Amino acid sequence: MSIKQSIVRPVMILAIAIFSGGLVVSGTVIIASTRTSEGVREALSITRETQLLSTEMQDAQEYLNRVLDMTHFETATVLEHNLRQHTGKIRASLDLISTRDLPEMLLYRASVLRSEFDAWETLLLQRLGLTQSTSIPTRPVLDDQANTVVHATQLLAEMSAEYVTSEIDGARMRILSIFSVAMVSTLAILALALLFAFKRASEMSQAVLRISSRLLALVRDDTPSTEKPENELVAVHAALNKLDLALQEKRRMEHVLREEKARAEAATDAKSRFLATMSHEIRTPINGVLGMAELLHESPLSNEQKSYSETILASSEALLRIVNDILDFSKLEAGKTTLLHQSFNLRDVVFDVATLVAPIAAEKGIEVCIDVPEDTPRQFIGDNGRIRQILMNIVGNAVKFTTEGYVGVTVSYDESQSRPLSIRIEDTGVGIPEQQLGHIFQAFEQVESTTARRFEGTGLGLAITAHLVEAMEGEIKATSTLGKGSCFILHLDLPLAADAKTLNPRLIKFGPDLAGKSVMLISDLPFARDLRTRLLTTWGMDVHWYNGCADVLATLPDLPHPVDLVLVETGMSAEAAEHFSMMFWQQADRESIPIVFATEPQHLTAFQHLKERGPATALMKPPRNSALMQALVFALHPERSLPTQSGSETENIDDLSAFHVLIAEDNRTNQLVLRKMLASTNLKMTFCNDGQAAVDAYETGKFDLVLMDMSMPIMDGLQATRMIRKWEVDTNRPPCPIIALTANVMDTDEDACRAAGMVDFLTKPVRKQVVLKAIKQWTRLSDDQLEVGNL
Amino acid sequence: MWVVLCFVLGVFFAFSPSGAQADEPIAVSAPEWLMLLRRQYKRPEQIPFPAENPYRHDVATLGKMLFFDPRLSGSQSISCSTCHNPSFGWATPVHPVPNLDNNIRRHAPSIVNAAWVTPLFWDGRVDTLERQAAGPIEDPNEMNSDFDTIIRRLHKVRQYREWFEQSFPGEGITQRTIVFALATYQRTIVSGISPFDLWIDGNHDAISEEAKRGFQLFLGRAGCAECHRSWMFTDNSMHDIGLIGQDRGQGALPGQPPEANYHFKTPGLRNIAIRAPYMHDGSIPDLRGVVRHYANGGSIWINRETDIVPFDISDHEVNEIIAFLNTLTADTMSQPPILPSN
Repeated sequence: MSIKQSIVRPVMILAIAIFSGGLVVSGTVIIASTRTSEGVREALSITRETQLLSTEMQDAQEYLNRVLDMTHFETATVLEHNLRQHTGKIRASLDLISTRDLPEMLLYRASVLRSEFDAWETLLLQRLGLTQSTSIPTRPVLDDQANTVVHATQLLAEMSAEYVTSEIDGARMRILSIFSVAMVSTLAILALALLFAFKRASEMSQAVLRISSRLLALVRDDTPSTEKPENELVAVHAALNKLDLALQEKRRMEHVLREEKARAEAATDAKSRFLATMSHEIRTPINGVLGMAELLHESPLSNEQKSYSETILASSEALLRIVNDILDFSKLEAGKTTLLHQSFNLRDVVFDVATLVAPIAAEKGIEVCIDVPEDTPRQFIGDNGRIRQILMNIVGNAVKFTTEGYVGVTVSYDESQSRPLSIRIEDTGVGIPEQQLGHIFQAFEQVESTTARRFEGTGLGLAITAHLVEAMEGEIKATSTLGKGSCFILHLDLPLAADAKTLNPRLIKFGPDLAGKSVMLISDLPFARDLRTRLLTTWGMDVHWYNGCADVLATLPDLPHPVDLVLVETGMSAEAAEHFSMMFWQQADRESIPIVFATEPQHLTAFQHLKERGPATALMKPPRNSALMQALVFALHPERSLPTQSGSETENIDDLSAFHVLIAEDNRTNQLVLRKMLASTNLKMTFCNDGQAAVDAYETGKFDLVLMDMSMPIMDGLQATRMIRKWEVDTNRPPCPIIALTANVMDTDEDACRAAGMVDFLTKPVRKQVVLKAIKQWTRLSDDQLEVGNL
Repeated sequence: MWVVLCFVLGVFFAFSPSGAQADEPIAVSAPEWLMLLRRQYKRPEQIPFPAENPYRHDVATLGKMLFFDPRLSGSQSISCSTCHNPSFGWATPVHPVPNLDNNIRRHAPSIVNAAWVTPLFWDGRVDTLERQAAGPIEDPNEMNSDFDTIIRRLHKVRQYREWFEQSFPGEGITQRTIVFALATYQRTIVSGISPFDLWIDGNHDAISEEAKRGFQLFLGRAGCAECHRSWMFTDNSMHDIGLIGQDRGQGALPGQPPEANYHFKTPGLRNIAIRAPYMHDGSIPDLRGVVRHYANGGSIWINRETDIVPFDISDHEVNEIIAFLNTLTADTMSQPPILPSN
């Protein structure tokens, strides 16, 4: 409530109270006096009427006495008439009195008088011989009754007078009492209003006091001087002045801080921009180095030279990765990441990552085990590329920091959790010291940054991962035991795609074939053994595991259980595999038992010739569930296996001589790289140095594909693309695929390219395979099955 | 009303100091006796009228006029009221005029309370006032007139004519209407409220202690109440009270047995104090004489059995009886009528 209100309200209430009190008093007094004067008038009229009545009574008595004196003759008629006149008057007066609103006593008196009068009249009439009775009352009786009547009349008159007196007194008393009651109630109202007003006022004053005391306290806090202010209001004013100063200071500081913040943000922005620009600028020379190194590597070289070129290639690739990481991180830190929301297969992502790290892991002799239970949903909605990146970082790290043992990736889905999807990556590596666990997700941190750098890397990987997880509103946690290994658990809340829960079609197709079969599982890694046992049991198979081939061979020839199939997951050389197979098959009745080897990719070829020795199948590690299932089924039922298409894919892949590609690229080095990179394909290439030249060339020649750089002199790639599209529409030609090939790697660049009419987006430095794949895809020559597959 | 009155009376008698109580046989304070007294001496509230001549006020007024009108006498010099003077208790203070024939003189009796009195005349020769009225009018010793004369005279008075015609339509002035009027008027003459009546009504200060003692004597030793009974103090009977004289009273009437000799009508005692001289012949001038006469048991000059019994009484007691008799006098106001002129 505002102060004005709190002052005005009590005053208003007081005024209303006084006004209403006055109204009440005057109103009641007026009403009372009106009523009183009415009552008095009434009472006075009674006395008048009783007076009249006694007069009439007297008249009647006098007349009667005269008549009874019998001094004059009067006929009976006249007599009766006169008499009736008198009695009629009296009766009328009596009636009038009786109709008045009188006290009980008075009315009673009147009724007594009436009855006495009636008796007198009866006597009278009898006495005057008007009733035809045989006797008449004696005079004393008559006089007696007359006296009674007179007495009653007098009584009535007296009582009327008393009544009038009492009425007047009562009226006075009534007015007095009403007045006093009204006064009292008015006083009470006033007192209440006063009380209310006082309460309000005291509340307000207290509020003011509180404010002032707080202000005083503030002043005291602010100024250490203990001198007592001579006046509270002065102190309050002083405090207010101080507050004002403080506020001004605060405003100034806020302004400064704002400026600082803007500057800092600008700095960060500039840093990010700088990084982006730098990475772009660095990319172009790397592109040249990488492309040339690749070309050099493919040219006939001496072994020594080959090792040099390999070193150049590896170095430039590492450099490219570092630049990519820096760019990625700067984009993430600038908050410029946009996440895709598209349906993707999480299994594909996990196994892609496993496949990518598998060669390194195999080189180091560590195993990568993937455990994706069958009931895990298949399709999620999210940014698969970013998830792949996250997993790649963690799994890559795990592989990198593990020298022996395994790296296990476990996917689980628990709907009861707020983030149902969790991916657990554990390794048996060097581990992370506890005190460093807290900041491994910070940029440029590597666990062993202070010590000798055993492991290469920018240290940006986990920082990028943390940023990405945060952007996905997920959670990543790390636990570790130094020297024993680390464990990263990623929790994500990804929405399920519409067909997420559909079962693996191969499981539906092959499931019944595996149920009830007895499988001998040979695996020396407990983690891998456990997850494999779980999976096989899910499929309905009986699993009997052995730690290694030696154990199996030791128990031969008598196995304690039937065997329909042998699954060997222990890493071994082709020779060891062959030895084991031969030993196994030599046992009676077991030559037809299929053996499935899961092996590292590099041994895959060596295992191929095992097929000639018996029913053996080789499978790349780590096998996908579906691939494993298919392999098991085909091993059990060779007749159901598909005809293999292997060996046909390497032949025609490089022959693109039927196509003519227009390449708009202003950088000579890049032109050379592309030319050399694609020379082996016999692809016809036309190079233009700027956009305008590209448009001109396109309008005159006939091209199957256009590779368009974005930043070019005279006319940039976007404008050129728009011109080409316009020309195509104008000349009613079918649109030619235009692919961006640029060092601008921002998402906005890709969007701009697609908006201008380009169909794909390749970033420099470009790798031969990527360019080839794109060209084949867009020239519609490529098969849809491009993946390098063994099943 | 009565209940309250009885109660008041009871209280009064219960606490009233009575000096006579000790030497008198009648216990005045006895409530039963009081009730008896009350009943006995209670004044009537109604005046009875005979069915053939019911009360009519105009007739009564006419009767009053005739009563006071000297035109009813032969000489037109006296009226009924000449001897029945209201100032003397409706009697006359003079000694009776001797009868010319037989030298019998009778004092005019009071006509007060005539409505209840029967038989009438000292000798009780008539029973109604209508028949009595003609007596004094036609008596040569009294008004010495006759009805023809009276009717003729009255006819000459216009107002009488009119009034009679109005009161007795179709009949006018006749002997019958005259005596009816006179009788009606006389019946309205009732003794007024005396101190004795007030005392009976409960006002114990209304009469003196002397009178109260006199009343006790009256009731008791003197034996007056033997004949002077009731509120009128008469038994309406004929008695021989031992007076000297040739007037044989009832016995002189035709067909009366010899025992009726000297029997006279018991007069009421209302207003007795103002009705001297006393007795039918007016032979006793004062009440003292009357009381003495009774105390003596009649005149010593007669030699016959009378109805009175002698008693002893002191002068003082006589005074007491007289004091009592004085309480029977009431102030009766009577306006003389304004008579129509010829």
